[in-house]
Amino acid sequence: MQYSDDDLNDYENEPYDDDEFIEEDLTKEELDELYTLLPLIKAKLKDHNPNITDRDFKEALWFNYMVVDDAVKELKQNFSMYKSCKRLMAETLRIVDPKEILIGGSSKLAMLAKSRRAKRNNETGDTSDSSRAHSGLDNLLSKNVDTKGTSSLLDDIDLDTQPKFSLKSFKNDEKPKKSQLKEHSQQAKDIKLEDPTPTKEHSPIEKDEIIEENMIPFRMIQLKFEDAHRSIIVNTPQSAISALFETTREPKRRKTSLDSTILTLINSSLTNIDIEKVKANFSKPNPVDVLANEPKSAVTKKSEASEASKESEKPETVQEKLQKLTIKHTKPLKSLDINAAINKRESQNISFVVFGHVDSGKSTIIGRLLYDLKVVDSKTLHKLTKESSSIGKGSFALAWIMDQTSEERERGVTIDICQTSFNYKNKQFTIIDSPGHQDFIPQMINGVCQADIAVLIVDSSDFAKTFNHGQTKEQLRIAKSLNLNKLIVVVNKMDLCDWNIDQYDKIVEAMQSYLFEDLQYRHEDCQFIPASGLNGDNVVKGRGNSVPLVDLLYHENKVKELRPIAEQKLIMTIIDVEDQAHDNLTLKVRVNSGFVQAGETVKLLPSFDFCRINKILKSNEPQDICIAGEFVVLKMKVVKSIEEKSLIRLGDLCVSIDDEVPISSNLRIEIHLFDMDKPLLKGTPFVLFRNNVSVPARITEIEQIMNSQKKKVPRHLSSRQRAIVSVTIENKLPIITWEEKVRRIVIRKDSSIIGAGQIIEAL
Amino acid sequence: MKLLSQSFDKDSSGVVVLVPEDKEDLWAVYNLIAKDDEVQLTTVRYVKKPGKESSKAKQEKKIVNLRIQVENVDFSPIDEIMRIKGRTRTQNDDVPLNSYHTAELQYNHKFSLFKSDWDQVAYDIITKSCSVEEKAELGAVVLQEGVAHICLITDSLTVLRAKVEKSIPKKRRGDNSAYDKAYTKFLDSTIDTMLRNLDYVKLKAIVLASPGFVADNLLSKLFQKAAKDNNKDLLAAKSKFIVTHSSTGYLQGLEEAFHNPELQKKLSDTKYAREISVLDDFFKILNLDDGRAWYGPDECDKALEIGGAIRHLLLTDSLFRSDSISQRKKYIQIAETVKAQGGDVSILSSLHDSGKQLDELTGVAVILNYPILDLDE
Repeated sequence: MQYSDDDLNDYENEPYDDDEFIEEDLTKEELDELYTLLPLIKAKLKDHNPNITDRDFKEALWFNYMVVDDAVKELKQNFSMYKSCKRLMAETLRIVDPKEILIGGSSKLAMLAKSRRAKRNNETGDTSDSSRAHSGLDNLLSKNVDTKGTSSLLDDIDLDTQPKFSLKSFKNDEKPKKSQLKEHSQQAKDIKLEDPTPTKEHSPIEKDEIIEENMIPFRMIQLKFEDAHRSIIVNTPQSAISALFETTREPKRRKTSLDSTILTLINSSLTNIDIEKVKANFSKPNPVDVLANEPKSAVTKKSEASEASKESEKPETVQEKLQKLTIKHTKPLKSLDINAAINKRESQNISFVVFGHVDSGKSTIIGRLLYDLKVVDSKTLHKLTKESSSIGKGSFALAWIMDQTSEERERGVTIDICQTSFNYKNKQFTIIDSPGHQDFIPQMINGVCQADIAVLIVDSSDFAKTFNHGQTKEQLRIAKSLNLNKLIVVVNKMDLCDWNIDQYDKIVEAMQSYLFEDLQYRHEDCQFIPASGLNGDNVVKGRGNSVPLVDLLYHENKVKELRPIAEQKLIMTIIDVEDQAHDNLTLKVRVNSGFVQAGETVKLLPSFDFCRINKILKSNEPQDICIAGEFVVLKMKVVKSIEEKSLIRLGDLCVSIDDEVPISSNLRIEIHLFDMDKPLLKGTPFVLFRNNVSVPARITEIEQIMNSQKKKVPRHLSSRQRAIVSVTIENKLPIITWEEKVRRIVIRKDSSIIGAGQIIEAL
Repeated sequence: MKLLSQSFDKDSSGVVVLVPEDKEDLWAVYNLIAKDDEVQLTTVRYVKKPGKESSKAKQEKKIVNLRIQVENVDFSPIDEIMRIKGRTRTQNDDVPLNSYHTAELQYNHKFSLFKSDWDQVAYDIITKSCSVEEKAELGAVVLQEGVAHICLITDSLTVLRAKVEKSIPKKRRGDNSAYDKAYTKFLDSTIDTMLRNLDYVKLKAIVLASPGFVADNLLSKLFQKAAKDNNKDLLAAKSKFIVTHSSTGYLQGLEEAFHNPELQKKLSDTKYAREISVLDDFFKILNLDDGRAWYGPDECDKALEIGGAIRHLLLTDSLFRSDSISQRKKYIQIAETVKAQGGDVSILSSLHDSGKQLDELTGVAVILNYPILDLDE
């Protein structure tokens, strides 16, 4: 039963699980802190449980960010839990097969001690001790008397080595060597004799360890891979321990999962249910017994067993993978008064999207706004003016502030949304420029999803044509459908008609009838203002006595209702992936609801990456917290992930790690159809927009048409119908129904918006 | 496909000998072979080496000629593989009678097809696929910023050959290099994938469809590259590339691209373009809801009874693939009646998106000459 040091080294050289505490990896400062706190925490827990090792103390401190009280709490919890397990184990041991299990435990412990000792002796060159390490249990028991031995033993049985050795030694006791079994049972009796009357101070320690080690492998194997463990047993010939080690090493992936589950078991407090489970597992027939019944067939079963182990390697589902992960809440870096912080920030921030028909002057108005507010200096504008004149587009200079790409400048249209922030009278504004061209409606929808207020720009010189045939109506419909209820209509290019007030009134009238009657906007939510973006009238500087656009926005910011952010669940939408290198992510997000603080851990969906937020940046300034409505850049580190390499996409969501969000490609939606030139059938492809993602989708089932008299539910939907339908989408999306903005959808087919609605549930 | 010989008896049973040549032919054969037909072909079978009785005897690959009574036919258009499964009808030294065999249909190898009842539709399939007319194959790239779909369109198939996906960062005020870099890279990898998957020398045309300017950019980048690499074949094929508009870069944009009148004019002789325009007409009339467009077998039966009412009958080929002989017969009957009454009949391929959509509407639809209300009651 001797095994070589090489085998041991193999195990020791294996990389640790990510989540483990590794003293060697700490920085010097961290170590200093650790060792100053160590005596403190030791003193606190002296009376509680003498079994806690130095390592436990250190680990607890580390995972609780060096806060002594928290660490004490955790340790108390964990170690009292061990006690209850001990009691439970004692019971089950008696019920099931006390001999077998005790043999397993003791021989294992003995093995461990022996091997460690042997190794150390070899290192120190002290051979005298090795002779004592011959017979496992005897040796161990004698060691128990000697305090020195015990303490070294305790040092040996570290938590992190536990899974490996427990698994190994668990298999030791499978060996169907009869003489050995006898020997062991003899030893077991010895233990039994000693157990009831623990006269020595150290014996309970040992018992604790035995039980702990025993319990974990059993639970593990029964929960995780009965097949695999059978194969290991079967593969074990009479004496070849080294061969046994090979088989253990083979399923590497599984082994790491063992580690993590054990950590789960140890770190998290065991609930009653868990204890019940353990109980149940132990009341099942011991797999060892089952196998001992057919030792002869063991060899021929080899191939079968290897097949079985193959089978157990089949790809795991997301659910299974998730079950294996334990994600801990991490504490914010700073403790803040949440309500005060939220109130302070929320009263400041507002975002608005600027949309309208092509060439109505959206980008120019925004450029004017930024220039007059001195966000853009005259030097930059001068440069842009020169550049734009050189290609014969002098009037585009202001628009080029927002239109950055060479393509946008060349073609003179905005292609993608562009955000920028500015301050005005101590309030913060985020401005989103959106493209007006029909082809870029998806980008415009993206912009609408990120805004609180809509600003529509209409061209006074070309109103009739652009309003009746252009994108204005469609865009308004999108904004309204996506729950953007506040609207400011800017009638632009008033300089072209010499500020003709009649023309302005006519436009307002036409707009109003459409807004109030067709789209059901409320009167008090709509405001109208004439302006000239090119000359800067009524943008920042009021013309005559009229209130300029920027003051309307300021007013909106001032009177907006404060939302109960502190009670909201966190939802953040990823609007840009700035950097994704290994585990470090730099994401630009909009916080849809709730708040998050730097230092907390969040969950990215649908990729299931768990990330700790290291830094929150707003306009390149580090922040402690970000709240609903804000645009921030998050620097995060991926802590755990179910895929090795996951792709974070625009439109992915980020929520608190406790929130269960279904990920699905089948949804039930409520849809309201607009005017279409073709019916929408089961199977007709269309594009579904949700928040800032778009996915190809098809209807799979028309469940109900709300405003139809026909008895039979047809296979197609026509214009202006309201219906409940099931749809299937090409990619899986995280489905959140508790936040209005993330729930609303619009659907688009062949260059036009054909319907809007909301997600009812994931199927 | 080549037709080597044919012989029919008076009871319309008979045999044809065919040689499939491309995946289009496989699709035709797939539509042709029904359950209980018999197929005779050369195929590979694993045969136990004679002499050894034990179970460990080695198996030997042997080429055998078998006649199979068809139970099941599988077709995968992407892999271009068709498998015919059934029981053997002839005895052989190696293969006993009535043993199961699955044969793979090989290109350029002849096979015989025995049918107990040849009908007009089946015979039309053979005539059509054996016509010497050049088969029109199109390539298409549907794309938008960040995603591109590269597909191949034949008369009866749309095959998605590759999909290119790339995450492109958003434009930013100030520094745009990340966006430019990612966008260029996306176009480059789309071009590479496209050239790998589409044979521009052989294809009749290659359609590039996108919202905005992405397709334009792709085309100009493609020919910059061609000029740089001095790729003469590609430069010569320049006229084959057609840039058109679609509102999305997802695969559904393909159908929309074919609505472009300019494109339809150029490709009017392709079956795919015709199918799209027929279905489009149907949908337009259906949306008017004026009683001139109906779908569903019962509705079509009623319209047929009226006589002369049907202007255009639309069917999908999946109806004729039905295992139920009576159903197949019924639709053949309907098709022939409509033709006799002076109406048009279109059979849409269920491997195109247009056919898939019609399949969702029961697979049968009619456009009437005049409104008839309440056909569904």
